[in-house]
Amino acid sequence: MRSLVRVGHPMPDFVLPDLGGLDWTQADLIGLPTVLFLFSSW
Amino acid sequence: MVGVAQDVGGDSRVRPIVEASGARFPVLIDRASHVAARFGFQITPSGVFLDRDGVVRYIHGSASDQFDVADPRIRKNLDLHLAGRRPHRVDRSRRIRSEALEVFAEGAGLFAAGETDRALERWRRALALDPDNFLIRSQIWATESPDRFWPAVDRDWQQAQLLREGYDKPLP
Repeated sequence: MRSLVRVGHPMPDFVLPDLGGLDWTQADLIGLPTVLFLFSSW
Repeated sequence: MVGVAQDVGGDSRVRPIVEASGARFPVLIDRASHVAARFGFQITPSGVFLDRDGVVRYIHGSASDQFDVADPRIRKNLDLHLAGRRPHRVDRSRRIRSEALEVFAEGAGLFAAGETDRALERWRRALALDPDNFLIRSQIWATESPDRFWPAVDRDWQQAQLLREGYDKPLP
């Protein structure tokens, strides 16, 4: 079991597709301040 | 802004609500809730601010205090964040062990392979580990009773379902 990410930690590794099928990783979030908004359709 | 959809249904479930919302930011699909698991989120909406170096500066999201960009507290912190300053309140999240969402992720893999019954069994096991986790509970509901979620979410049904399941807290 991996530890939880906390304030001050780097964004953890991920590879996720966007709606266009393009894969994103944490490296794509570097360079500008970012807000990650987690949501669901239900 | 980058959206991260926590939804085992993937593109077919996520795209219609993104298009209906008029969102003009990228939306990633996280079928197995990997991102939620790493932050210990039990519910959506939830949010994370990252600085330009990719370091986490703010975490917000719990059943009693969900992430709503219309919330003036969050707007203020968002303004600070975008100005390159530290948010005042940080880590407004219920911190859980991520074990339940790791079991959930196993179920998401089964679901993607078309093994819905085995996925539901795994998700129920995950929910038993963390009964307050509405990412898991809602996904079970949405899979078993999709008519209660699309085209509209039936919150009265959800409240009644909580009672049927013996859950003694209000619907978030």
